Amino acid sequence: MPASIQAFFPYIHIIIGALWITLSLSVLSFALGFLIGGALLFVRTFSGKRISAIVDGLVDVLRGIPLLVMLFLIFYGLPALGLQIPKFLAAVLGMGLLSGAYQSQIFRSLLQSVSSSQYESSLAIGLDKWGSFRYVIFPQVLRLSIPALINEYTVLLKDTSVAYAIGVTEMFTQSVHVAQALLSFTYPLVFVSLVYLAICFSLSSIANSLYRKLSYGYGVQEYIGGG
Amino acid sequence: MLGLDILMENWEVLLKALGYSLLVAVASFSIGFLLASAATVVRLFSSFRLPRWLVRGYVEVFRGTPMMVQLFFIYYASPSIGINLSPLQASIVAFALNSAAYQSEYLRAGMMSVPKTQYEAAESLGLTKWASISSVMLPIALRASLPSLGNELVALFKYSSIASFVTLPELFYVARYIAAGSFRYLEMYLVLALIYVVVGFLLAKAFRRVEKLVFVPGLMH
Amino acid sequence: MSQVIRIEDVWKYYDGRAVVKGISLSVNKNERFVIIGPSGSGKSTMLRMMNMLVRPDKGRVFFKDVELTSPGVNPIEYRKKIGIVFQHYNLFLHMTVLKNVMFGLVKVKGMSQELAKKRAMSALESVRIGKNLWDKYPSQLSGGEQQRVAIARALAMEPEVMLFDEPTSALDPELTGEVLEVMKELARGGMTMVVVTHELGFAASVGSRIAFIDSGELVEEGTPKEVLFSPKKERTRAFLEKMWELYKIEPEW
Repeated sequence: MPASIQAFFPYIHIIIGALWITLSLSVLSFALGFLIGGALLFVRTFSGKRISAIVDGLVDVLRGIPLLVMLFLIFYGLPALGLQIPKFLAAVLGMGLLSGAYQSQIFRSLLQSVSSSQYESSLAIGLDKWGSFRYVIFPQVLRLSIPALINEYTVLLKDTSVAYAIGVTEMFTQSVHVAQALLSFTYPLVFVSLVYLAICFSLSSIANSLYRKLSYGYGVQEYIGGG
Repeated sequence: MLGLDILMENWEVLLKALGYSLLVAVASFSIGFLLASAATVVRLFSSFRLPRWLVRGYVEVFRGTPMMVQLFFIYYASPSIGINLSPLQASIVAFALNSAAYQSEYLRAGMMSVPKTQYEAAESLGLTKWASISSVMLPIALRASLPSLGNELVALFKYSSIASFVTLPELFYVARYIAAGSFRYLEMYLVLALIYVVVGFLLAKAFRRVEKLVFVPGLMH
Repeated sequence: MSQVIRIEDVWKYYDGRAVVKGISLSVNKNERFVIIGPSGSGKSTMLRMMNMLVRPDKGRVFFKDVELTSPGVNPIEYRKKIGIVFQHYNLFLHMTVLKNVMFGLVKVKGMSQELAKKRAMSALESVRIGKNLWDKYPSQLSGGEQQRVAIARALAMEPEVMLFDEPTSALDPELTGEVLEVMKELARGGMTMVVVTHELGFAASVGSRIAFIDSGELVEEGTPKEVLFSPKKERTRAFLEKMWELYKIEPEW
C-alpha cells in the first residue's frame, strides 16, 4: 500500500530544496553548451571543407554517446588520467559537452535558412567576413534559434535527473531518497513530476509563442529544432 | 591496445547485453509507434473534445517529465497498485509510453504537412473518413515524419542505458560490472561509448534504407 | 428529361457569414451545366454541395430521386456515382499515376487488382495519358497531365455525372487546351457535366445551360446565348464586360 500523503508532506522541502541544484546544473551546462555550439558554428563558417568535415564528425560522435555513459566516462574514467573531477562539475561538463553538439546542430540548420544573399549584401556594404558574421549572420541565426534553444534547455532540465547516477543530489535524486525513507515511490515521484512539468510546460509555451512570432516573415519550416 | 582486450575478453556478455539494449529500443519504438498513430488520429480527427484533451494531456505529461522519473515510477511505484513488472517489461513499457508521446508529435507535424485537399480527394471518390485517413493521409504523413522517427529510434537506443537502474542487464549495466571487476574504468567506458556510437550509426543507416524504400518523388526532400 | 442533380434553397455559412444564399437549380441528364461568376462568389462551395463534400446548413440536395441531405442517407454511398475534378488536381501524392486511378476502384468498388488495372488503363488512354507516364508520381507530371489523370481517376469510377471545379485555373495558358479538349470529348460522349469555369469560350461552345452566380446568389440562368450574349441583369453584364476585356474579346452587344 502507498504510504499516506500526510506522511509525505514533511519531506517536501527536501525535494524542493534540491530544485536549485537542478536549476543551476541545467543552466550551467546550457551555458557551456552554448559556448561550444557557438564556437563550432564559428569554426564551421570560417574554415575550409576539411575542418568543417572534422567538426561535423566530432559532433556526430558526441551525439551518439548516451549522457549516462558520458557522465561515467568523466566521473569514473578520467581519474585514471589523474583527473578527479567533483560530481557536480563532472555533470556540468558531461551535459554541457553533449548539449554543445546539439546546439551546434541547431545553429547549423538555421545557418542554412539565413539566405546567402544576406551574407552577400553585408559584404557588399563593406563588412569583412568576421564583421558580417558578427553583425549580420549570427544575430539572425540566434534570433531564429531561440525557440529551439528553449526546447534544448528543457531537454537539459529533464536530463539533470540522469546525474542521479553519479550521486549529484539534484531534485530527482532527493525524491528517490525520500521514497526510500517513506518506503513508497508514488508521492515523491508524482510530486517531482509536477515540478518538472510546471517548468517545462511554461517554457515550451513561451517557446511556441516565440516560434510563431519569429517564423513570421522568415519562411522557416514547421519543425526545425524539434526535440 | 586501449580497451581492445576488454572487448575481446567480454565480447560474449557484451553482445548479449547489446541484444537487450536493442530489444528495448526496437520494441518500445514499435509499440510507441502504434500508440502514437492512434493518438495522432484521435488528436486530429476525433469529433469529441474529451479524447482530444486526454491525448493532449498524455503527450504533455510524458514530454514534460524526465524519462528517469517515468521509468522509476513504472518499475518501483506500480507494485503498490498491484502491477509487478520484470525489469525488461518495465523498461519496454516506460520507453514505449514515453516514445509514443514524442512520436505522436512527429506524426502530428507530418499530418499537418499533408494538404487538406488530399483528404477531400479521397472523400470525393466515396471513401469513408477512416479509409481516407488510413490510406491517404497517414501514408503521406508517415513519409514526412520518417527522419524524425529515425532520430527517435536512435535516441531510444541511447536512452536504454538508464534501464540499468531497474537492473536490466543491458549494455551499460554489464559494462559497469566489467569496469568494477577489472578497475579499468576509463577503457571500459571508452569502449562502451564507441559501441553506442557505432551501433547507433548503423541503426540510423538502416532506418535511412527504409526511407529510401518508400521514397516518393515530390514528397520528401 | 430526367434530373440527375437538384439543389433546393441551399445555404452555407462560414464564420457566421453566408457564402451560399438560397440557391436552387437542377441539372438534367446529358446536360453540360456551366457555372460562371467572380472569385469568391460561392461557386466552388455550391459545387461541393452537389456531392456533399460540403454539407449545406440549410436546404436539400438530391441525386436523382434520393435526398442526400436526409438524415437517413449516407452520402458516401452516392459519391462514387458523382465524379469531381478539382482546380489543383489533388492527385494522391504517394501513388503512381496508375495507382491513383485504380485506388477508388479497389477501395470503394471492391474490384480485384487485375480488373481495376484494366479499367484504369483504358481510362488513362481515354484522356491520352501514355504508358510512359503510368508509373510516374504526380510531382513528375506537368499540370495539364496531372489534371487529365485526375479526370481519368474520376471517370474510371463510371460516374453518372462529373463535377469540374475550375479545372484549368491552375494551369499555364499553353496547357489549358489539352484539358479542355478532353472535356469536350466527354461532352460529345453524352456525359452529364457541371463545370465551374472562367473559360467563357468553353462555356459558349460546350455549355448547354449557364448559370451566373454572384455573392452566393443565383443571378441569372439560361442558354449560353441568353446569358453570355444578352444578359438580362446588370450584374451579369458588368461581370461579362470585365471578363471579355480580360480575354481581349469584344462583347457582341
